[in-house]
Amino acid sequence: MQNTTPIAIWSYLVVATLLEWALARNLLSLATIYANIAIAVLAASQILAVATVFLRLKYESRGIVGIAAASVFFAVLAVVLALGSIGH
Amino acid sequence: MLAVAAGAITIGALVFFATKYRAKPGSAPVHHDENGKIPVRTVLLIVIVMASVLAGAAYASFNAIGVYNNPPGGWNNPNALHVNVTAQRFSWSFNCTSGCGVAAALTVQHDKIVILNITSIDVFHSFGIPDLRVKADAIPGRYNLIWFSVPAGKCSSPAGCRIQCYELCGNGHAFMIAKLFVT
Amino acid sequence: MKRWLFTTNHKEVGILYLVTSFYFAFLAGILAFLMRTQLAVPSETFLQPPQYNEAVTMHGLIMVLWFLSPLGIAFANYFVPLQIGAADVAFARLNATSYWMYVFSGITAFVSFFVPGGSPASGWTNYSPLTSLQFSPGSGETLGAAALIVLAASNTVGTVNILVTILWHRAAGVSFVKLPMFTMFTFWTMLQFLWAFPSLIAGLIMLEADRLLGTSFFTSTAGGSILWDHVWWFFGHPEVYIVLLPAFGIVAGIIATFSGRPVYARKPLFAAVGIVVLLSYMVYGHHMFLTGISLTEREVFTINTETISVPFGILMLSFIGTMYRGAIRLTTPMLFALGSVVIFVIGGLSGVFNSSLALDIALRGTYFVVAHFHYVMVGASEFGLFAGIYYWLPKMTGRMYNETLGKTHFILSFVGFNLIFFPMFYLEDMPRRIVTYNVAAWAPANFVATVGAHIFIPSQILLVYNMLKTLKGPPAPANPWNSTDREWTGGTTMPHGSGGPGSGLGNGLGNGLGNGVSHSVSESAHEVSPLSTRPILLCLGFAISMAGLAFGLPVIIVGLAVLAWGVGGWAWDDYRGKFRLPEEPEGERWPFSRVPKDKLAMWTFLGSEAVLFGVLLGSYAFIRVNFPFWPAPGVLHDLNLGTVDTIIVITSSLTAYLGLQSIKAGNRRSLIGLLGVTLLLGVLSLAIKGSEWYVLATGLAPGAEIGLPLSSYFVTTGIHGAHVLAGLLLIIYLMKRAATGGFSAERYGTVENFNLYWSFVNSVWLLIFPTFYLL
Repeated sequence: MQNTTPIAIWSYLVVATLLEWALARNLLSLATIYANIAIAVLAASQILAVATVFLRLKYESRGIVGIAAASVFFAVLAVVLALGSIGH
Repeated sequence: MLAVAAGAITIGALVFFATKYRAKPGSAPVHHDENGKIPVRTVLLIVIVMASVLAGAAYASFNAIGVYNNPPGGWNNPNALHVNVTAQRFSWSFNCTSGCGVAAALTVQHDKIVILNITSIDVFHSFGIPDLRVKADAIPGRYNLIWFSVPAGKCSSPAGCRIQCYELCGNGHAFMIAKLFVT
Repeated sequence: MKRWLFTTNHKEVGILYLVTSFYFAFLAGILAFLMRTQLAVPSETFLQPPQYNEAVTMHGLIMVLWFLSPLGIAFANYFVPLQIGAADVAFARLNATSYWMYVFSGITAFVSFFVPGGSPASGWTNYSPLTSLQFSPGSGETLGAAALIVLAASNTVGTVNILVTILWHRAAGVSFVKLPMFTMFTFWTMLQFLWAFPSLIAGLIMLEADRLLGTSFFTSTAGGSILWDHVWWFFGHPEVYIVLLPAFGIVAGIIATFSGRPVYARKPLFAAVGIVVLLSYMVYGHHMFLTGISLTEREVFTINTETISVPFGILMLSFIGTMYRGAIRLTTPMLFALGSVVIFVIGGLSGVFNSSLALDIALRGTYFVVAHFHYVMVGASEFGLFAGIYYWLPKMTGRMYNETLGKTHFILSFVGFNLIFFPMFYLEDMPRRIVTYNVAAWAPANFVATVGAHIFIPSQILLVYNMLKTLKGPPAPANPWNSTDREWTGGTTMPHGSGGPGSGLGNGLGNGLGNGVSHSVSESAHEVSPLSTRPILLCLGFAISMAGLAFGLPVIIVGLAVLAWGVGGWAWDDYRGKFRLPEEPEGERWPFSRVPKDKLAMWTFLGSEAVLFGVLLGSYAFIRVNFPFWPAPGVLHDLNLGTVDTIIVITSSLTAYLGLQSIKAGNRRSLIGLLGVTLLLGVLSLAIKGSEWYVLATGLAPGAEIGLPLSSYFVTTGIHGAHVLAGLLLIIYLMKRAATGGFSAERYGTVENFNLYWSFVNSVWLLIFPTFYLL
């Protein structure tokens, strides 16, 4: 069944999106801060899923994974350094 | 001083090697091959020496900034002179409760703590009193607090001390000058 | 003439870059000459403030971005393939593309002098809000920023190209550790390009949005000014190392050659440069010490900045250690290389002073800083690049330059340079970028500096004269310096330096072939690259459309039309298989041995895109944290619509992936069908986006400044939407190609690369959706 994995991933992505929607709509009655953290974690997991399967990182050589990881590192670094500067 | 020494050693080594190992005219050109050995001890030596010197510099810097960030009596010290400094294109204005400033001139007293609350109403400027090593950026929407106190004898001439803008702010940037007078 | 307009050959593109960079150097040099003349004595009125501000801004921008960096790229183009034994760079037409984007961007920047309001005049650092429409009215700043965007695109394209070349096209035996010096330094530089320039692009997009669309990214008092600082310097600091490292690569190679010694501590050197690259992104806060950022961050930046001196110490160790027990020949290239090192030591030490968060209080915004960066950029970088010119001139022209003229040029430059900038270390009270001054104490240093400028700047004529004279000069031997580097020995696929014929080759050729220039197998292949009209056309269109940001919508449309013509023609060429270069034999490809070249290129490109979106989203986060009145989720944007959109996006990723799987199984019809569904889903997603935009835009008061929440939304989803649109156009091309049998179970690389792009773009949406709609 060549196609189970992509469809399985797709299902996960859709479910995660619906969960995010529910959290934002406050249907699960969580405190806002927990809801936000949950949304962030869900989003991160979605991206990881897409990267691993649709971007085929699972099957790629270490060099490619290295480029991807390094790029994400620098992107996150930019954000962290900017946000960390706030405050005296 | 340390910097000059470090520089002298490095450049000295370079010039020394350049002259000492000069090729004699007519000698056969040497074929350079790779030997792959890592001179671990030398590398480590350089790293450790540099790291130590720099650590010392960092330590000294952090101590200095500790002083810079902590005016005696705190930022709300009632005995200090609190001045609101506003930068605009192309002048400085000073406001405090006790009448310390008129256009382009700030008057303070010797040995008294002065706390400045610096901001800008238009673009990015930078407030600096070079003779006192005082400087902070003046940024619209931000309020930067710094403090200083003028030791006796400094800035007491009739001309006072210069206050100038240290960030390009437009055509009048060079002329954005004010005076600090000390009584 | 046609040959030069349409070439895709790396050597010719290298020469184009070299010659063009000199024109820009000339322009920026004149500006410097004017500035120094104005500052020679107090209260001078030779230049008026607006003129001075334009001069100081454009001098900086042109020197850094249109001269120093492109000169390094010129050498990279010419010599990296030669040094690693490749026939050409990885993507020949892309190479021409990056050149023409560079040229047209420079012309655009030059044109900005002549528009109402003049050129950008806010310093090369373009601090906000001085660059806003309110304080820089007129179209000069808009045009300048547009030119920078085109230049950044040029660099991004060139970076992918050269990186893939180094990673994929090395001949057998050229492992990473054995990379020649210049290529090794260029490799690290390209990594810096990759992750630094997207930050600039993001910043420029936001700046243009502020100026043209009324957004308030950098003008809001909720941290707008500081946000520009972060975005600019995250790019700006790596940029200055980008300018420096290729020059040091040249210096390292030259010192080894003219000492007749191997490079000392080669492996630590390789690691040291890598550490510099990594750290260069983490030091930029030293430009912001006085802005009021948190104490912790200032301390971190002090530590990181001081730490970055350590790898540079290793570099100095390597350079000087290489000379130990050597047989040193003080030719012009060697003189410039050594001069570069000496000046760098002075400049680098002065940098340590600037790195201290405490000392910087006194030094920020003063001429001490000006002295520091000119020492490292002009002294270390420019002298290193000059060394490269003399070193490689015999290779590029086949003729020898005049040694006496060269040495004279060196002496005048070295003396002149130090006269200009050393006195500035003593001007630590004098502010930067002031048109004039009335402090008598500053006058002597300024006067000496101007004298130095009047020596240094004209003496560059000696270089140009020498270069021109060389074209008719005496023929040079094939390896005049007796180097064992591959670009001299002719690059056969021999194991490196093991005493076989390769090592004799250098001496043999040098002594035997007095007259000729050696032609090895790989070199004659260089003459084979086809011409193509598409790159220059594409770039012209792109530049015109960007210039249209300043000149109006009709210009944008004309530009886009030309761009479409160029891109369409390129796609047509590919479709017809018209542009083909000979396949290269497989050499060293670690760690990408099983990765096709195109895929490697796509991944590299996606790496830079990751940082682009990271900065855009990070800017949003920064603004939001600073801005107290942010609308709650659901107020501004329709949650349900967004969720539906997200599900559509996710599904389109699935269909694209299934399409890839079907062509891998040989099923062409299925591929076309699934691509078609992907296309429909993409269009649907864009339509939803469009309707949301329409609702939001019509709700805005006309002419009012767009608030921060909407500013960031429009720009971020806009850039994302543009990426989606590009993807859709790609799908159409793929469908056409598949329909005529372009893909099969063995040949599906382009479909796979499209998938990578598409899923990446969709992942970004998976970040945008929660950020804007849900949180």
